[in-house]
Amino acid sequence: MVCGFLAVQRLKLDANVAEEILRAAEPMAALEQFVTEVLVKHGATGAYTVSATINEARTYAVVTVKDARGAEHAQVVIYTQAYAGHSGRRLTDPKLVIQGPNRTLVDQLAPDVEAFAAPFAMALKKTRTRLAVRARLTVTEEVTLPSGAIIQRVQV
Amino acid sequence: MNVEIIYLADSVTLVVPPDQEGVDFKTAAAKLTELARTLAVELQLPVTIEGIPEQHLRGDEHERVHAAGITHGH
Repeated sequence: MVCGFLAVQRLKLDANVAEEILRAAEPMAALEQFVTEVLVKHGATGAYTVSATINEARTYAVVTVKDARGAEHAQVVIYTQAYAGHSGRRLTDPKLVIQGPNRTLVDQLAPDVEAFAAPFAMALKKTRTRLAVRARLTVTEEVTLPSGAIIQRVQV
Repeated sequence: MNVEIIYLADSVTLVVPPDQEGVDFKTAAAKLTELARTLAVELQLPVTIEGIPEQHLRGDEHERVHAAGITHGH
């Protein structure tokens, strides 16, 4: 019964689950956790290691999925703000790239990670903004409510 | 002056809590407008200002608030 319940839960890695995970953890930890959950859902638990990094400006995050020997199987890049695409056209929506030599893994990751990208990008933008506020103003308190809302008390 | 920045899922609200001593609302309105504009640009989300009495958001400041796409209690 418990296994059945877990199986049903794991099939629902949609935007709601993404937001739930994002409420419980910082965006980068949530990203690693989410991709790991997707791998577990597809029975790939233990076979791969997942690591997420972010650039200094917090404008894009990269997740790599490697096997035990360190060989990269898949890579996910989530851009969190407008950037100049290859064509030079300025893209405004968060851009997601999923690529890698392991096509099966890439195909398995794609639908769930696509559901995660938009709420993750927003969470990352909020984190970046909160850090910018901390750098410019005196922050006296920061509280995350169970609803996911964040209250930052500042002095201006 | 103390201000609360409330980050909701799809919007941001700046609240000036009541009962603060010696708040210069005219200056506060200008500062909050600037902060709200920065947040709106960075997050691409609607921003609302609450707690600034209406009379302090008149004239040029009022125009600037709305020009920046910021809402407040009318």
